[in-house]
Amino acid sequence: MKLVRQDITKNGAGSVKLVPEEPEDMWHVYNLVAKGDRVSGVTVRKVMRETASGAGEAERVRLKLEVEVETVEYDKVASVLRVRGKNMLESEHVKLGAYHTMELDQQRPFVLAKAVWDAMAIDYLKQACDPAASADVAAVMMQEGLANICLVGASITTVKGRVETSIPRKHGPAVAGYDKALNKFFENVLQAVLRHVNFAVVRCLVVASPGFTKDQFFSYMMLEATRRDLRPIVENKGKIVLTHSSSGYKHALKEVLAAPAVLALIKDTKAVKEVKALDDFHTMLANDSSRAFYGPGHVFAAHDRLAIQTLLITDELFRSADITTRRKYVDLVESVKAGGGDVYVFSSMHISGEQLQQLTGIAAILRFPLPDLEDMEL
Amino acid sequence: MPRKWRQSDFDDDGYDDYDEEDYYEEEEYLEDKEPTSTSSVVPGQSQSFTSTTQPTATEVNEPETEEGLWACPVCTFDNSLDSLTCDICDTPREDLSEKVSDPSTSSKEKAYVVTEVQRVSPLAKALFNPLPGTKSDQATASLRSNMPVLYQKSWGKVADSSSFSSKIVPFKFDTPSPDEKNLAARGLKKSPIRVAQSPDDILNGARSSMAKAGTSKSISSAVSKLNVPGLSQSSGASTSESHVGNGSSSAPEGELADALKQMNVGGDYMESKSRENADASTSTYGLSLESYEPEPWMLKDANKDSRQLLHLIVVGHVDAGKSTLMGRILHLLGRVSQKEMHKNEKESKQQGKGSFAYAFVLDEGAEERARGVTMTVAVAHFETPKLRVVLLDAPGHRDFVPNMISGASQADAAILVVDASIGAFEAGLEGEGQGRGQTREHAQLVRSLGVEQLIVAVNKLDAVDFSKERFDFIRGTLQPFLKQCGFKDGSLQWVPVSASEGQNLTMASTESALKAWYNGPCLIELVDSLKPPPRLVARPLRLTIAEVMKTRTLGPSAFGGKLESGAIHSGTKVRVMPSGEIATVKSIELQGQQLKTARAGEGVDVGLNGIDPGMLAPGGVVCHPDYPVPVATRFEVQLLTLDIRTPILKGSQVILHVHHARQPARVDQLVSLLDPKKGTVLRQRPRHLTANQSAIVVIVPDEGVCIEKYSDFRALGRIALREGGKTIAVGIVTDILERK
Ligand SMILES: Nc1nc2c(ncn2[C@@H]2O[C@H](COP(=O)(O)OP(=O)(O)OP(=O)(O)O)[C@@H](O)[C@H]2O)c(=O)[nH]1
Ligand SMILES: [Mg+2]
Repeated sequence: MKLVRQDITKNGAGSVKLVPEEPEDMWHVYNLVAKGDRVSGVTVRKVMRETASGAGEAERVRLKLEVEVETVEYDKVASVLRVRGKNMLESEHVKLGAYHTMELDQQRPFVLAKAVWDAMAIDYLKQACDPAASADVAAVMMQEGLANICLVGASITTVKGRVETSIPRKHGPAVAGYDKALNKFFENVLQAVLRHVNFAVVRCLVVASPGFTKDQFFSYMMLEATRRDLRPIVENKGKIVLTHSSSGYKHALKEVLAAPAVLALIKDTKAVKEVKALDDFHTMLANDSSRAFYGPGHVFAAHDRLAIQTLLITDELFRSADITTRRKYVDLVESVKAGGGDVYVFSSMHISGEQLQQLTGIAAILRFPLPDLEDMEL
Repeated sequence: MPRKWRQSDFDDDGYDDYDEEDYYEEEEYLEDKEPTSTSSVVPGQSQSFTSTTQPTATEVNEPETEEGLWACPVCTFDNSLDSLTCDICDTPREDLSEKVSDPSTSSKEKAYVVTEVQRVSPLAKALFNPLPGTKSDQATASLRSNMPVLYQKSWGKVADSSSFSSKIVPFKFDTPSPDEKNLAARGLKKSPIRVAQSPDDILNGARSSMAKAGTSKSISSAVSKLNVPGLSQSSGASTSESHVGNGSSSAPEGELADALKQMNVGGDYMESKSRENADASTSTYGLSLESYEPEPWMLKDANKDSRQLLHLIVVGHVDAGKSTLMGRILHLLGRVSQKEMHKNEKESKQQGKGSFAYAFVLDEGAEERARGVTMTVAVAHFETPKLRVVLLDAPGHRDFVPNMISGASQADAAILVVDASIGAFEAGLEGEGQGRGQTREHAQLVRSLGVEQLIVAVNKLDAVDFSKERFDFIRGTLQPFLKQCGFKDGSLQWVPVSASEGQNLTMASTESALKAWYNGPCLIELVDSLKPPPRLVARPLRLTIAEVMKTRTLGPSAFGGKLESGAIHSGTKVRVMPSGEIATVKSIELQGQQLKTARAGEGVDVGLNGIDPGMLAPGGVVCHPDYPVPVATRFEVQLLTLDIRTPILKGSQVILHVHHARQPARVDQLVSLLDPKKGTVLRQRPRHLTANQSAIVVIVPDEGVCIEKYSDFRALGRIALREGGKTIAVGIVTDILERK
């Protein structure tokens, strides 16, 4: 995301002018825009004009509006953001206070003004506008008959394509169909890879599966690439990594992101750090459950005793419509950091963030055990 | 309101390249809620519009499991509600609920079934109920003899009370089917079928079983407390409620309500019944199983074949010699031609895998042969004096456990092959490094998937000079573990073999080192002694889809699978779940041979007419058109966690395995943690589950899955949960909370 202009102070009012540049930026904007903020930009509105005959005629008018945000809707598929609120900028067509929905999209500048820029918002802005932070990994998660083509970005994991082919058994009357079905499956996966994976953007393409499916697919892909002269594949052979996964489902991505071969290439990415942090939490919970807690009740109680070593929290909690709730979490993050603890703000659009969200969105690994906390219902 | 911040400073230069058509239009978005004739929008008018920024999480009312007791019908010991079997005498409580929910077991004529008293691990007891016991010890036997009397007496009492009702349909017993008689004659305890006609009947059944349990007190309050959706609206149910009230009361009602809930009186039958009552228009869809009457063709000549069918799965750690063992047996039994064997020998030598010649009999896939690893379950057939055996050769490699699970879900019995050579046995049990060995995982899985009879074939004894010490050591190490898994001593058999030397397979060993200390039965004799379970021929059709295929003879919409209940013949209409599409059976094949009719227990290939092949997928169930299997989107299970390192939490992502279905699922709720010994609730809403715990949890599969409550239909009510390539828990379905 491009930061065109900024005029903000920590914990003070201010505004920034931003230009989202890629789909993932819309997700960042979604995390930045909160209820009560003001968003201004150029928008289009249909207005009725009276014609000579007296009948109404609809006309599209381009105009500049500023809305005070009431709701924000993120459309993952179209990668656009719809911001709705009251108009704050009187114009010929839209009265002050009239409701309007503004659509924010890539390449369209807008200005975001907040009454208070808290530390979380400033950090997030910095991260969202850091080009180095975006590095994509493409992963083909496979098992015989099923493949998910996933793109792991800095903050978003998307399943770009899914291939499902029914493969008959290798025994009995249907044996002849097996090789045919398997080749058809591989061909479909290859097509999906060519369609969805842009080697100019991704650091690597991981092919993962249980058993030998990944090896079989890899040989098929390389063979076809040479035969049909598929440049992207031939030229990027070095970017293709094979690794084991327990299944072809999306959630097995966490195994892929922890695999040494993949880790070596992307260990500094957010997704990898999140997987690791959640894994540490699980391990602690299994080994010493009095040092791992989740849920706001337990986590805040642990923080009161200055016990938090690592705080895991999803971005979703900061998106809370209620200012005081957001404030509460922002203060927690600040205070844990000040106390020397680590904080991981998980993207709820990554697999580990999805998991953490299921676990109330907040968890902590403690410096020391708090056994009495375990028995408390909070 | 004073502006705290600066007016935005837009300059036009940034907008030049906008395409007007791309702009978003307000009125489309508001879905005609706003009049387009005004240029300004009145705030109030559009207030109803709210944007949804993220999928709303489903709020769940956590079902609370209260503490309570149930009295054992045999020894009257008060057991905790959460133990499925009596703590004192092992009588399954679940058996009671079957009296209620399974029409086939509510007959007067039924010999009461008591389980063997065994010192099985309490862990296993908490979860698994054995089949009607084949042996039972003296004490239980004498207790058992009292049972029918008690049962009939109290049943009679309750039956009398039904005369108070204004609209009563009396009990109706069907004459036992030829099939049942046959089974009875063979000494298998299978009760005749009762076909209930109305909800009253079901409640009669419920009452009788409660009476039998010695708890027929304050039933009315218990029934009214029953947490059955739709029961109160159902006219049939309310009638019966009124006449159940005749019992005198003294027991605390909470107890009974719980007991009833636990016994699954409400269950699916009641639900579908009341749904039927409420909505007569849904006439032919989702009928209660109670109303099912088998058609004559299903039972005709059902048992003309003197040999009974047995599905036998061969499991064990990778390279234990499963395929070699079975290939060798098939060869010895004359199931593999000399020519074929020569071909296998030649090919295996060519591939530098000479020792795999016999394994190639079962490992037919090119990839399997090249790597010397079984990947999918191979199916073969052979016969013993008493049995027609369907042999399932499972893969041992940990990556193919999902395939092994599909196979095991069809199996009636299993052979666990262990590699006796030094180090290999140990690896199979403990596993190298990270992953546990598959000897362990497979044993736990086959047991939890319903296999009760197990033969342990200690293989590769040639590699340890047929040492008795090694055999005894392996047996001594495995036995406690297998008991812990829930295998009973009486249904565990041990045999020393060598697949590559052909020792002790189809005839007594010729190897003097082995003969010196073993003169028991050879492997195939042990197989012959296995007991096939009773088949549910007289129940509505349930045919699980194991795999989908196309063949010349069966056509484009064909599949292979096992008939879990009922029967099919060519020309019958079936409903394919979960899609719900109707199709017609075009033809049926067994080992490539055309069949007219196939019945419960058979594994067959079926071609369908009138359905798109896309509607068929492994994990689907082909049903009687009027009795489709439930497609659950949210259900409760009783779990037993295995040796897990990562705890199971609310929201944990898992892969759910039920019969041939496998799909991602989420643990939606940890309802309660149970004491694995007593089954009592230790804690409501535990924070997490760790290794070897028993718990009630709610599962939400990504898509609807064809399952049944365990108490309704065992074969479709057993689940396994896997994650990260390991089986993390096994369990049974205790309730279906939401369905499609
Ligand atoms: N010495 C000896 N080797 C055996 C014996 N039985 C099998 N083997 C060898 O063990 C190896 C593995 O045999 P398989 O039959 O493929 O084993 P498997 O259990 O089917 O393996 P998976 O299906 O891949 O799990 C082969 O090289 C066999 O020759 C035996 O009794 N003695
Ligand atoms: Mg094998």
